[in-house]
Amino acid sequence: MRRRLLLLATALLVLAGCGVAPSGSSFTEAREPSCRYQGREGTALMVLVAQAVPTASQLPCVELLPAGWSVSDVFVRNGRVRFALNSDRVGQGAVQVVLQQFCTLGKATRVPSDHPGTRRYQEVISIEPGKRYLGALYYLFPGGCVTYRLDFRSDEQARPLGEVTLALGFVTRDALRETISEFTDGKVPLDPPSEAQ
Amino acid sequence: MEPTAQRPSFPAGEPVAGRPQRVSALGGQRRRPSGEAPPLPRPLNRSGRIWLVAAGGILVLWAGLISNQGTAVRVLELDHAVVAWFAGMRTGLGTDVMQTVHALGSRWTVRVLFWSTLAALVVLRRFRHLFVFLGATLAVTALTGLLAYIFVWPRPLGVVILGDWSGYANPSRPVAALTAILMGGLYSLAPAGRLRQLGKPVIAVLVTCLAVSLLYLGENGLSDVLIAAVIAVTIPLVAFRMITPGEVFPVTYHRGSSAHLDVGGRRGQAIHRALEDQLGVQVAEVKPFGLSGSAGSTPLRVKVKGEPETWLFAKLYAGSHLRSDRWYKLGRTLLYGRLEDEKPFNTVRRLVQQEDYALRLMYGAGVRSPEPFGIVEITPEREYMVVTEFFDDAKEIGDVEEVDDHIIDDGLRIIRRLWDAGLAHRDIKPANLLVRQGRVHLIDVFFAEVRPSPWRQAVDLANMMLVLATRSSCEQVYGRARLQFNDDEITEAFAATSGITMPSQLRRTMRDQGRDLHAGFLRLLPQWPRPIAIQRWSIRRVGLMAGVVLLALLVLLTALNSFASAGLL
Repeated sequence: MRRRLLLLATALLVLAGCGVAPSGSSFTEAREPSCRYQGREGTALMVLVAQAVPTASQLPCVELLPAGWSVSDVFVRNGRVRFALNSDRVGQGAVQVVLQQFCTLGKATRVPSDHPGTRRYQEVISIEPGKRYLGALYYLFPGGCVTYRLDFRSDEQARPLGEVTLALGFVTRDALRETISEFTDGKVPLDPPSEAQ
Repeated sequence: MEPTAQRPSFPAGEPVAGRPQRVSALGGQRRRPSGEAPPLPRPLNRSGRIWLVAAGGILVLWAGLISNQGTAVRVLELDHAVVAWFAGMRTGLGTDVMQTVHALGSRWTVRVLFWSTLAALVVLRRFRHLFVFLGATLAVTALTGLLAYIFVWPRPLGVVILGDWSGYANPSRPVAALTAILMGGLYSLAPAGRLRQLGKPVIAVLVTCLAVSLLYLGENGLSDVLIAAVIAVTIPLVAFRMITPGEVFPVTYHRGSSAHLDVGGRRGQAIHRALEDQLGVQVAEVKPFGLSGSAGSTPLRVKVKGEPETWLFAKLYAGSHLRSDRWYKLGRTLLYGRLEDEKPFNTVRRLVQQEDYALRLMYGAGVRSPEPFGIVEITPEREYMVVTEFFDDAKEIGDVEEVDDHIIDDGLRIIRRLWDAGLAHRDIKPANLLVRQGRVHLIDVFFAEVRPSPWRQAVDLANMMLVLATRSSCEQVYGRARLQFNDDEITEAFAATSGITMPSQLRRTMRDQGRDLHAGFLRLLPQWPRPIAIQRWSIRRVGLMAGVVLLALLVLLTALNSFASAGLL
């Protein structure tokens, strides 16, 4: 009797997992900070990202990863979101993406932004020619700031930087709000009424 | 009976009469009818079954609900409605109070509770409960982490979240961690009865307070805290009820060895009933006996009603002894390779069958050992007793004032008899040699082996000589041994014997006496023997060692990772 109950409970648990889990890469994709998923703006994770920094009008996300790049170490808590991009050419943790309400720019220089609605700053921290490049990119926008900490362990700088700026993008909070509204038939809002625009 | 005497075989063609039924003189045996519960059933209890089925059902229902967009939205709506209702009642004072209550689920509270429970269990040497506590907590933290990753459930939508949080919302990990640790603490530290019953509503109140604070602060929705509570109550409850049932491993604060099973309470009654039903004896009393000499079972002395009252000896075996045997054999294989038969037993039933078989073999071979009376079932597949004759006027050889030539000859004759019968005892130590009316009796034959290796038989001889020498002298024992064994046999015995082949009680006795008897015998031998190596290397042993190390590392890393993510480290 006891064994049957255990088996039953285990089977129920496995079924519970299988019932929710989409198969293969789709399952993983839904849990990554992707800008789009199944034709909609954002993923389940992006909703959590929006909740972590409720003031942020833009939310960092992954547009399309070039070959050799992957996402890891996703960490979301109130006030801070962080995830990493790894590269098989320029190293693990080559890019750390951090979203916060505020950030310190240091000696960063303003450069033209490649994302509408944001201001971009760039900082070179150190260069070891042919070995390592340490730098940072900052995107400032109403209610938030995204930092890309760059640590390329390679003689290349330009190409990985180009790949990173192409791979990473933003989802606007409004777009995500729209997705939630569409998903819940407008019954549950993303933000509290006072903060909704 | 002389150790050399053979039992007469039964005459051919005649019905087998068997020997007199010495243990069913009173009462008679009774067959347990089909459907009747065994003497000591091992129930999960009704509440345990309800929690287990409820938890499984709720998880399936929950998975179905949130995997379907329509129902998932309804759950989101419900969560939103509840949290929005709480948010609508927020006041300055209310928020301050709730943030204080929220500390119940903080990492520090959970850490303090976890580590203090752990420390208490270590101090109380309640290791079985400790491992169940660790395992249940690990299972809860790992399962809630996995489900959170699978469910990808957001924090409550449409409200300002006031508390600190991290990761997905469902199941609520602060609720799960607090509930699991409190439940574990209750079942491992509070004795069953009034105290434990009082603890349950206290836990319910604490967890409810935390849940309300999480709802008020907007950190979790109603479904998050409910699912977490169901998981965190069910896993420790079922784990403790199944692995450390109160009847078998009671939580008590009386002094006593935790290695031996408690034979009072329900188990005591079950033992009485089982002995009466299965052996047909009227039991007057069952008491632990000689616990210090036994680590692999719980030895008992049974007083049987009658004129005059008689005694039986019984050894109670349970799943814990089976697991100890497995670990012991795995440890031996890792440390020394495959010295001899190290195959573990699969079930407690097989373990007691081996002991009963060995007893009958020894008794039938004419070795002076206790007469076996059979096996008594306490809980099917879980607990059995091997019942034998009790040597009521016997003394352990270590307690005998002087071991004279007569006793030495008798002890050595037992070894010669074992050799002739193709047997090895494998655990010759002072506690297993009793002297009764000037005769040596061999007990505890559990490790006996049929057709052992010559090495194993040689070790038995050396150990017998060492035990006899603890109460006499090497010279005396060596002199008497040469009357029954030749120099080559004795030399081989001491070549085969080194530290680990001697039972720990024998080593301890020699250490306490400050005598190196092994060296004493070596000096007496005609030539110094070349020690026989006991290390056996094989691909299997290397693979097993690597596997055990890897598995241990994997378990450690998984546990550390899971505990760290739950904020317990």
